[in-house]
Amino acid sequence: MVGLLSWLWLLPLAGALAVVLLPSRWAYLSRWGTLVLTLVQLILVVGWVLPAVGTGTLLGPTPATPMPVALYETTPWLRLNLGSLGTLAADYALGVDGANGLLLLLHTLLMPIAVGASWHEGRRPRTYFALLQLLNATVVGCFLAFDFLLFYLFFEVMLLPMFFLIGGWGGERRAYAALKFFLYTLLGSVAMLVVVVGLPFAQAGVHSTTYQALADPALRAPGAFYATPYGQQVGFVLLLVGFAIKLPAVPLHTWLPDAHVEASTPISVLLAGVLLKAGGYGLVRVAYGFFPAAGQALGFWVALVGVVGIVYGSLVALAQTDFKRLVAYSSVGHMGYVLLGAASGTALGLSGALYQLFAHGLVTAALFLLVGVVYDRVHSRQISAFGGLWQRLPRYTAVVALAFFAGLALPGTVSFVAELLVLMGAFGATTDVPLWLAALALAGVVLAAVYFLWAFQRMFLGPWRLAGGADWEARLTDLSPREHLLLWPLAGLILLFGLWPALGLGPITAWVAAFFEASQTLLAP
Amino acid sequence: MGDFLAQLAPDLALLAPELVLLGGICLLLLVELGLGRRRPGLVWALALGVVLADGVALALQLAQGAHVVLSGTLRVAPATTYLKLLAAGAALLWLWAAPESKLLKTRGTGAGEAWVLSLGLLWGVQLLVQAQNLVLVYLALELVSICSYVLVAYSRSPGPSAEAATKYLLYGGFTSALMLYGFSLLFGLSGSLQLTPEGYTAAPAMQLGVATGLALSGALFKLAAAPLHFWAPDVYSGAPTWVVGLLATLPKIGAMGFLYHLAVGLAPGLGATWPVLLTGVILLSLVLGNLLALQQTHFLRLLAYSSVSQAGFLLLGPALNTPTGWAAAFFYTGVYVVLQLGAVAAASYYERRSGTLVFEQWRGLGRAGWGWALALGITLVGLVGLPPTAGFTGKLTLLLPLWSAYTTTGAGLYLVLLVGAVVFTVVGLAYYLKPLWALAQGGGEGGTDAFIPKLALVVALTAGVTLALGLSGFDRLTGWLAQHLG
Repeated sequence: MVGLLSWLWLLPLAGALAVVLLPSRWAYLSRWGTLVLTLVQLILVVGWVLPAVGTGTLLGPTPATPMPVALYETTPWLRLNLGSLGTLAADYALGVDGANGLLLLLHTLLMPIAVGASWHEGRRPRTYFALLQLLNATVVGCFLAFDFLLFYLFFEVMLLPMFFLIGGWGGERRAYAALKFFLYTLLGSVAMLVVVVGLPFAQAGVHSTTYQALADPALRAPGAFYATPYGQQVGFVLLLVGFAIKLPAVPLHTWLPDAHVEASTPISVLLAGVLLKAGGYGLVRVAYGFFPAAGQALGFWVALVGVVGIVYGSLVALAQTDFKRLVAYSSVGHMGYVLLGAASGTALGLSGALYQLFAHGLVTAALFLLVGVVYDRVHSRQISAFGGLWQRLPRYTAVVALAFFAGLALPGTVSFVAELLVLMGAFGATTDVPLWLAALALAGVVLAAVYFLWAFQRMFLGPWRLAGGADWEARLTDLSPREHLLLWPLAGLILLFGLWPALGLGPITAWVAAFFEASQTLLAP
Repeated sequence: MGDFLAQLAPDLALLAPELVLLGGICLLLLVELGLGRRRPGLVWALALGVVLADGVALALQLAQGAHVVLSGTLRVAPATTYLKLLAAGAALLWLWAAPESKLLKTRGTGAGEAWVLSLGLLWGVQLLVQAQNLVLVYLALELVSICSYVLVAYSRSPGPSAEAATKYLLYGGFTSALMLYGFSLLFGLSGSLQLTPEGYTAAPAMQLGVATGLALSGALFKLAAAPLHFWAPDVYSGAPTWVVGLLATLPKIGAMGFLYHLAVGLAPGLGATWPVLLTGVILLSLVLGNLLALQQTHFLRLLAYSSVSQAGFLLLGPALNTPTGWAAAFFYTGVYVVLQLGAVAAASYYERRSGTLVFEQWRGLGRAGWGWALALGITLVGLVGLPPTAGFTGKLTLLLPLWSAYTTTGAGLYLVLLVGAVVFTVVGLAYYLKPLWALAQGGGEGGTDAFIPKLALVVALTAGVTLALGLSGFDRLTGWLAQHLG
């Protein structure tokens, strides 16, 4: 009996297969089929999966610290006999709770939007939509997995379709960008593999890799490698490196600008909106979930990396002349808040970090779509090539304004709530995050305002000016109905979750509270 | 005489597969002499029949336990029968598909000596994986080598093929001499030709180490492990493609079996020196194989250098010398053979379509026949070691015992191996995807349109097995192997 959560990733997989087998004269069905499938996924998530969050099976390291996991399904999968070392038991376990629920919603929201943005993809559409569905399936599996080996499997397989999507449908330097993306993130993944390999072994017996089993304090029994603070910090740093590459955190971020600039618009939307979030989610769930003591001990360093990312990312964004690169570096800057929030060791900070993943996903998706609007028309992304766009493209300017204000965390937008929570957590940090570090993060907010508003002023305000002259004038039309359909829902959600944050924050804060209680058992020396 | 035969009979019953194969080779030789020119297809069909019979006999042998036969010179055990089955299966599949390769298609399959030589190669491998006696090991290894040398020169054309065969012969001869010297030292140290630990426990450590190092050279040569890898690129690119399919698979299986017997006999006496010996080879193979593969433009040359780095991975299990380590090594050997078959079959196909093995010139070929590109993609991803392929699960089963060895013994050696293995897995990505990239590009001439059913089946089968073993089932296989390798 296949549960609802399994259907969520099996459906896109079947869809990929179906699309690839379509004969060429029915190639147009590939985009319609994909759209229908992603909308079905969205309906399933909003109607059945999300309402169940906060209920369901109680799992936890000890019976006294239960954490509800909704729609939990588990079957035994692997029993690897390792002789005198015992047996490695991996289960096929899926579940949804406060940590991954909102991210699942984000993904299923962005998928139909990405399909809509790919509507006029004329280059090998069947392969394109098949790869998109494969990406869809693996990302859903990654978020839903409740077993470390299963999570790792999905996390790695995610890289393959993204590599081909960037490399096959991207810009001029797509081969370089795609390979750099793959190599960088694979390096992070193998760092994680070392921990996958080592974590279940503390003593002879059956070693399970389910999240529940890995949070068991008995794994830290004396004699195990991960019993000592040193061992735990090694494990934490390895996991941190793996996820920091994906997040991305400075200085492991250099793959991101190239990948974004060379990828086509819908692929950028998915890369920034969903794939990066898998890194942040993994950081919270896996790194902080299995090694909270190490997370506490290394709080200062993680926060430092986060704040450096915020400030550096924002400063570099300020220097950009390419619109898409500016948005890419703003992504780097915004993901720094996730690290800062997680490092603070407070419920506020961690909730903020998780909410920032959701918020940033919405905002950055909107920003990349908006970049794509101009690029689709005149094939230029240079900020200096445009001026006074508000005069002929008022609706476009309106959405851009909203997205930019969301990017700089204006109150009323979803990113304001997220960044506020992170900063409140950072200022009240229980780990050794100094006040000056948290204050430096505030500079990031100011810098974001600077680069976004400056770009807005140069491109949209002032006199009408185009580098391409009359040819560009003819092509620069305002938003088409399809683009309206893609952008306004995003804009609406940015405002909705900004003005009514309890909608999204409810499950997150409940989970974070239970998480802190449960990790107390792991913080005991 | 009568009771000698009576004593021999139960042993011969256990050697049934080898006897079937031997009888088949003799029969084939006679048929080929008589009918080879007129009915070359007959020789080929007979060869397939012989391998099939051999495979059936091997499958029946799996159920029997471990036995030592022929005065202790051969050891028939389920784990080595697994290796023999692997070899027979690979040979059967490949010999069935081989006539579709470019050389045999254009020039015909000849009088059938190719099949006799291939069966000889298989017979040598089957003998090698179960030999416990130094002389028998040498005999089997030479049989494998000589058949390989002649097969490499099979196209009889001057140029790359002859050069490759000469290089292979010279390197092989040199390595055989080294190995024989090692064997003579081993005989001197133990007074016996048997590879059993009792003879070597009293041997002085340094001399045993030197002798082992020399004796290992035979196995390392066949595996194409550095520094005995220099033959690989020239042989892979110079030999006819269908011969590469045999060379990339069968000798490696034989080498793994040989290593197993060496380890059983010599490692107890060597203690900590055994992993150290192999670690140097592993690291060198990983470094050289990966770095040199990055610059290759010819598909089979790329495969050759990649096999140097894969030899590094294959040697991880022997370096550990624990039942789980060996089980993982044998499993990874199986995965490796499957992946190599798929890669060479796909290369054969693209060679037929475009006339060249330089994959930059395969541009555009991926568009029309996307199934081939997909299957080759799965194979290449498997060679990198990414999920959801068996390449990943193979590497996982190798890394798990490495980590445990590190945490239980604390020897930094194992950590170095672990880190090296994962880092070079990442490096491998950079070159394994190059042929796939070229296939996915547009432009280029379409090449001759051809759907080759036999090669398609091989490629589809290997891709399917790679995916199946990547998701489940491998835990049962490694568990079974570990049980029998204890």
